[in-house]
Amino acid sequence: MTQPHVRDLLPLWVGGDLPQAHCAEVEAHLASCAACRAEAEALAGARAWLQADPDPPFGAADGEALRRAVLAQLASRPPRRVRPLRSVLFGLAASLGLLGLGWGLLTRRTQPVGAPPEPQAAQVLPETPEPPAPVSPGPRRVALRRTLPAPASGSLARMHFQTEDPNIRIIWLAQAAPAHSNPETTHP
Amino acid sequence: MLAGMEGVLMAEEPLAASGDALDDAIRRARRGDLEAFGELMALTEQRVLGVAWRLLRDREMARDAAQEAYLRMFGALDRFRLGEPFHPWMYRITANVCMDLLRKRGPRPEAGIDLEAIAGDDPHGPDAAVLLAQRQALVRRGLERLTPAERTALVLRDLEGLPTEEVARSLGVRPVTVRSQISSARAKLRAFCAPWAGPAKGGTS
Repeated sequence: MTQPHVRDLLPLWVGGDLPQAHCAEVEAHLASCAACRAEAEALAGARAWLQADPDPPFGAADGEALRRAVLAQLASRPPRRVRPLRSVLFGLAASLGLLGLGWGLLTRRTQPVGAPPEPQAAQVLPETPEPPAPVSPGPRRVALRRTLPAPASGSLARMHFQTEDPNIRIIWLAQAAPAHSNPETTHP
Repeated sequence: MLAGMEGVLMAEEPLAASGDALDDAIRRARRGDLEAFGELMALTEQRVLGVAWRLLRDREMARDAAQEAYLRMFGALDRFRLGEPFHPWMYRITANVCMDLLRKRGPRPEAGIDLEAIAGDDPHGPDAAVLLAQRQALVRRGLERLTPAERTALVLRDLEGLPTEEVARSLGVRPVTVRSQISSARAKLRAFCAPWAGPAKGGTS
């Protein structure tokens, strides 16, 4: 064993922390090397000073004060809920169930590519605002008569409103929904 | 009763049949029993205060550290594995709290040390108390030059007397790491104190 290597092991050797396999070699070297012996003594001396450390300055009263302070803090906190096993398993099962339900809903809502959109109530025309009163003297309610346009795929829809005044007819144009309409659906 | 299940999930567990007061206090404290936690503290507080003081070298800081350590222990008791030794776990929490405080505090100025008094070679003379105090001040200054990990490993090994394996469990590292830290710490302390350290009285422990 070379001298530098022994010097590296001395800090562990002085504290009894060197594996037994190396101790004999170190001790054999120390018997013949004054420099390493001096180093070992210096290490042991510093360790002895360290271990002459006084006892910590705490007595029984300090321990009691510490206990009081800690327990007072803990008592002011909400109590720790220690959940029994059954409720933990129940909660876990419920969580998994909810997760599965959410996944099912999510996959159902997601449409595959290329699938036709769901049929819409194309005949349900948007609510039309009340058309302006005809230009005639005096306020008069306008009676409306609506005729449903023939649905044309993707084209404009026309709505005709005939007022009481035979000379005034209102034509309302609206963008028709794509032609996937359900012919059974009628405008109310 | 679910036989064979314990640990992470709080299965209903019977009280320990063993007479070990600490184990019994731990089991009851895990259920939130503050009185049991008080018993646990009574059995361990001097160790916790002692380690905190040796690491921090400040009485008030050590008390604060011990208080914080116990609060953390209470909060983490349900993660402590029953049947494992309690003291390494306790030391680990205490050491972590102290290292956090050391980092926050940073280096602090040291009072002057009479180096000539330290070099005196009569530890039993009329100035023995002064000599001892000065040497202890020198050692404290030397300890402050260690890294937190080195200081903690050295305190647990050389002052608390824990075996290397227990120091390793306390610090959450491997024993070879602890030996490396101790070796480095002792060498640094020797380098710091060497000009005043006399011949050793006994080399190994």
